Amino acid sequence: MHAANSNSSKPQPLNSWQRIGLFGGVYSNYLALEALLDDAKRRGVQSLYCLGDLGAFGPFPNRVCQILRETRIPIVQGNYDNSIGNGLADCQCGYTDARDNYFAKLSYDYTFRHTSSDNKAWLQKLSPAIRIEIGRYRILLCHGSPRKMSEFLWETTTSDAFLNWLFQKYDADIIVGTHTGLHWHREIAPGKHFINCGAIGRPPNDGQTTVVYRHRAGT
Amino acid sequence: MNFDQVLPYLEEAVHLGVKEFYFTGGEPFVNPHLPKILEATLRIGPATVLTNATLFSTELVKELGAMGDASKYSLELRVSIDGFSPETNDPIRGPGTFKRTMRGIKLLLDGGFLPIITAMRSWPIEQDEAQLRRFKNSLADVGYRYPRVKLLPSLKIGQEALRDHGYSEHDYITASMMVGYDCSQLMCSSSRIVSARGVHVCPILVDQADSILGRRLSAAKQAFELSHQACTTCYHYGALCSNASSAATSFEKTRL
Repeated sequence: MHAANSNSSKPQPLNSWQRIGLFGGVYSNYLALEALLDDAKRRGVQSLYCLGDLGAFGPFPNRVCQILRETRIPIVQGNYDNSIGNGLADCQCGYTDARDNYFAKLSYDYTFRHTSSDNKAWLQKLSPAIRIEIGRYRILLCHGSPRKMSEFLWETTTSDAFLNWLFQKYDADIIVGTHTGLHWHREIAPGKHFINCGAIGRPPNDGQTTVVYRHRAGT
Repeated sequence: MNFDQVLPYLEEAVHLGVKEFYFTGGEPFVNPHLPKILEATLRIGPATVLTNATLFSTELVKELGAMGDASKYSLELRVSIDGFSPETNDPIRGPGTFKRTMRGIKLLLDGGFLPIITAMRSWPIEQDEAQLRRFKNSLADVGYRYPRVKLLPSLKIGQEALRDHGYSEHDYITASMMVGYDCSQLMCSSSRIVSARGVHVCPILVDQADSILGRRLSAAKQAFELSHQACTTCYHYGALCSNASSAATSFEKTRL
């Protein structure tokens, strides 16, 4: 297991000139993951971080696990990974519509059946958060929010006051999540950023076939 | 509560890092100060109003729409209903309310809102699908083809206790029930409700004397013993009063 995964409280310092890539919501889409690795390489991204939810929707969950294990990309545990790893009965996705839950259950049961026990054990051990430092920025990578893996932080339902509280409580300048799968970014004060890096496994319901991840250069 | 009574709580909420705001009643739109209160709220965070939708006019909906558009945060209207026809709704809500609520929902739709329609589950859980189908037909009649629906479990207090026999003597949370339980599912672990009387632990217990925890939000952060029978409903169904649908999460998270 990667060192950054085994201890989330110890920040991993990176050079201030380093360009990092942040992605999440792979949803068993190994083709999107391969495309991201190529794209990040082309853009000169030196370090990649995955913010979780490796399974769901796509047909080959083990292929995503294999790529991520081989590349040794540090990974934050998502609710899906937590459920599959711990053998829970549902994905803890927090859907609010009965039809969403119906299809989520089909997808979850399929993913559970088609994830090897070795990969399940690996998913179970992923870290709930990763801390890195680039120059003066303390960056906290989580899945939903720092306080709850499955918390939905939507752009229009998350107050500046709450983000400010998160920055203070969790000693961070930049917090990055992925859980909703919808990318957004807000700078609530100079140097204080919340970023949802989006999801690479499926589009953000915008009628397009493209997906989103974020890359950032430290200064 | 008038604007001047609410404002100090809004200011305190920013200081405390409050994420979102809900307005409930009674019927919040009876309060003539509500639009001004909402406008101030939407400057600092997202707001949801729980309403029976019977007091809407085209002008009021337009005013609310303009407030939502001017804010970077969302303004949600959540409409409560207790049945899918005048025959099932009006005995609980009052004569003529079904028709007036449906009219209010149509006004909201015409004004660009997608209200969350909330209904209390007054039927066995196995009948959810059939009941929801009827419900959606009623909403389709006023032009709401893909409605957002939130089902609430029955809280056996007040009038509902008389209708559904109330809680049994065994309906209390015990210490052993809390072992391994995810307390963040309970709204009282992260929310408070303000009334003219003070800051209460939750909206369900607002009529109970022990629900008042302090005069200010910052003085009402202490833990609250889950000693009421109604607490068992929250225990089983999670965050009842949030916009999210209440799923029976306590048994959904069991192992395969």
